[in-house]
This record gives sequence, C-alpha cells and structure tokens, in this order.
Amino acid sequence: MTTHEINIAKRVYEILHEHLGSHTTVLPESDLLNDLGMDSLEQVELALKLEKDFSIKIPIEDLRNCVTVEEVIEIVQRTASHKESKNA
Amino acid sequence: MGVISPYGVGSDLLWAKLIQGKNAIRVINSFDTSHIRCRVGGQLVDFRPEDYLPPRMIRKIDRFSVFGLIAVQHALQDAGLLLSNQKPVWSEQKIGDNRVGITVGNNLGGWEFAERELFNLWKNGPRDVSPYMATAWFPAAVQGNVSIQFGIKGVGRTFLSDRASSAHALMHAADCLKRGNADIMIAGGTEAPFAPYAALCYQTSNLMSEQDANIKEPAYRPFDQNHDGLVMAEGAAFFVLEREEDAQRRGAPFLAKLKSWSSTHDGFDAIHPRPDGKCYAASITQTLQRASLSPSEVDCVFAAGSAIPAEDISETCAIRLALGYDASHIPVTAPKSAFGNLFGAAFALDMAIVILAMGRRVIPATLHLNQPAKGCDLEYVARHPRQVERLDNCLLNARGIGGVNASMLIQRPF
Repeated sequence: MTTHEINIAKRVYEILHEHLGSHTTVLPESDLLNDLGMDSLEQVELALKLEKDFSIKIPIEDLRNCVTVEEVIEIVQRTASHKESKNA
Repeated sequence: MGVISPYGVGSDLLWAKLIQGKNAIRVINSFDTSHIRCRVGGQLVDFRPEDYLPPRMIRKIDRFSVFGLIAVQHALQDAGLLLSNQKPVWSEQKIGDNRVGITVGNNLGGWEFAERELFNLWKNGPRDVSPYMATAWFPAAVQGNVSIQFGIKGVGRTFLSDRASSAHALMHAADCLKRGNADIMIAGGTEAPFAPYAALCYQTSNLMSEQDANIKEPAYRPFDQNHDGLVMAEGAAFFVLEREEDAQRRGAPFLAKLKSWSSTHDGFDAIHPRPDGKCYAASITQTLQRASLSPSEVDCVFAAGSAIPAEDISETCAIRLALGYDASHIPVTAPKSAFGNLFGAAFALDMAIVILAMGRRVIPATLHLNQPAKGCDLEYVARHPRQVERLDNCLLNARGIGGVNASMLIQRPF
C-alpha cells in the first residue's frame, strides 16, 4: 500500500468515527450493517461525506455493494487514484 | 403515559404548570415569522434531544419523531413494559411482538427536517440533501421509527385528520384491542409545527390567531370574547392501551378506561364547521349512548376549544344539543388555552390532562377566558382550576378542518 493509500485509509477511519461516534470500534473487517448498524440510508450518507471530503464521486450502487469497512476504503482509494490518473 | 408539552418533558411538569396557571405561549423565535400573522406559539424551549436519544439517531429523524420516541419510551416505562436495559418486555419473548401495535396521530409531518433539506436541494443540488429525507419527513415516519426502536411488529397506522388526528389514532387502537387484533396498543400523537412552510400552511387556512411579535401578553383564548383563532404548539403524548382484564392480570398501573367513542363529519365546508353543530352533537350523543350514560352523568367536558370564533360557537351549540338541559351546569374546560393547540397531537395531550385531572378531582382552567364570547354560554371553568367532588366521567372532544368531529368518554378507574 502506498503512503497515499494509507492516508486515505486513515481518513476513512476518521470519518467513520465522526459518523458513528468515537466510542465505536471500527475494524477493516467490520460489517457495515451487522457490526456498525449502518442501514442503506446511512451508507448513502457516508458515501456523500466521503465524496465531499475526498472531492470524488462514488457511485452509490458501488458503495451499497460494500459489506465491510475494508471494501469501502478500497473503493475510495480506487476512485481517488482514478481521479488523479485522469488529472495527470 | 408519556408526555411532552410546551412546558417540557413529563406529565407531572404539565400538571404542575397547568395548576399554577402558567402561560406557555411566547413569541416564536426559532424561525423568521415575518411571512405569517400569528407570531406566537407554545414552543418547547431549552429542550435538548441529546439528553434522551443518541446523536446518531437524532441526525436521521425530524423533531416530531424525537418527541414521539421519547413520549413512547416514557409511556412504556410508566406501564412497566420496559426492562432494565430499556428494551420492551416483548424483546425477550419468543412470541408476542406481533401482538403489539402502534397508532399515531399527526397532521403536518416533519417539516423542520424537510425544509432544511429542500433549502439544501435548491442551494447546492441533490447531493447535499440528507438521504434520510426518504424516511424523516412524512407523517408515518413516527410510526416507523417507534416500531423499529421498540420492535413492534403488529398493527401500525398513522392518522391525519387535522386536530382530531390523535383522537382517531386512539380510537383505532382501542378498536384493535376490542376486536382482538392486538394485545397491547401504543397510541397517541405528536406534532412539531414550528417551521416556516408548516406555519404558512396553517396561515393560509385563515384559522390562525393574529398576534404579532410585539404583543405584551400572548394568549390562546378559546370561548373568550377576544378569541381570534388557533395558536400552534408542539409536543406529543402517547399511552399504552390494553384490555382491562389483561392489564389487571399483569398488575399494570391503571390510569383510565376508554369507555366509548364516536366520530362524525359535518359534510359542510372545506374549512368552516357546520354552524349549528348538529353533526358534532351526533358524535357526542353516540359516545354517550355507547357508554350507556345519560348527559347528567357527565362530570366535565374537555372541549376542542379551537378559539376560532365560528368553531367556538358551533362547539357550544353542539354541546348544548347533545347534553340538553344538563349543558347548563356541566363544567366545560379547554386547558390547551395555557399552551396552544398541538394540532395532530392535541387530543392525545388533552387525554393526558383528563387522566391527571381525574386522579386529583381537579378540573384545570381555561386560561385567558375573561369574558365569554357572544354565543358561548356554557359553564366554563375559567381562569382558575376547580376542585370537584366527582370527576369520574369526562367527555373529551376534538374537531378538525374539513368538519371532522370526534368524542371519547374517559372513565376514572375504580
């Protein structure tokens, strides 16, 4: 994982903690629905926050297909790097 | 029961303030009221939702759902149906949650939330709109939120009939119990009307009072010669309803008996009531007949008391028509004069007051009733509460825009 990808992952964890409350344990394998109690609407809310924070556009359907935190991080990393390669 | 009134959270607080004759109506300060003529209301101040609900939940729901969730939680607690972990007793039973139902009376929906998100939509576009718009704003949102929070899987209904909404919610809940469709019904009403568009909707009905922000003593004046319309208020009241034998079997605190009820329509006009009050009287008469009571056995009438001049007069006509000779001496009161009209939750909060009054044999006063208006000539309990020897049978009335009438006979438990 590159430094940039690590920074993205760190920021996603921060956003998740802001969103869920700092007391919530968030792990890469945490299940969005069953462990973190995030229903589909809350997942959309998270997607909108991530979009704003990283200045990217995440297809809502892609995020809805995510089951774990790790998968969310991967989408953000992928979308961010795609944006950078387009801008390069 | 669980109560949130413009005075704050809890039935004890409501009763204490009512008996002290505290006026909860003040100048509206939560939004710019320059577009409406009634700039006063019964607004809950110093209310911190986060004292009762997690911030993560508050973010997803409108204020009327916040009120509903807190009131239901208090009602369940009061009824001995919450475990020490704050979950309902049916959460630990294998069966039973489908025998618990919820009915909600509401009129406006969640416009505080909706207006904020509509502003975001027009200003920044759809991606700035909260995804919870889908579940936060519509009147049935409370029913959904309560059923999710407390694992209720039986009957679920939301009633919208203006100021009679929670009357219909309570009537339907009682009917469900009578028909055996549920064993426990949670029923009541909630309203949070203090938002610019919601307030405007009432303004355009031309039924609101005209009290501007400079008024020295804001007031809601049912039956008074200076009555000039509705003054809006916010809050919620919910009750746990059970069949008498079920409640006795589990040793539940027994607050009151919903003896009988009826609802009629004027079929007259979109806004105004039928002036002669005949259809409204029919609702009262049917209620008494179903309770096998004569008018002389009614100890007090808790009136709809809208303070809309035509409605006050037609309500007076209806009470006279239904109660006949006895209307001259049966006390009539409208305690909502102290805090405003909760619209869809008005009847439910009135019912809470009836229950509190019956337990103490004290009729709360109609505040601000200094001189009855022409055509309003009942035995009003004006300005000061009245201690009485008997307060066993109370008639509670509600009516709403479009000519809906509702009556219920509430009995003191013996």
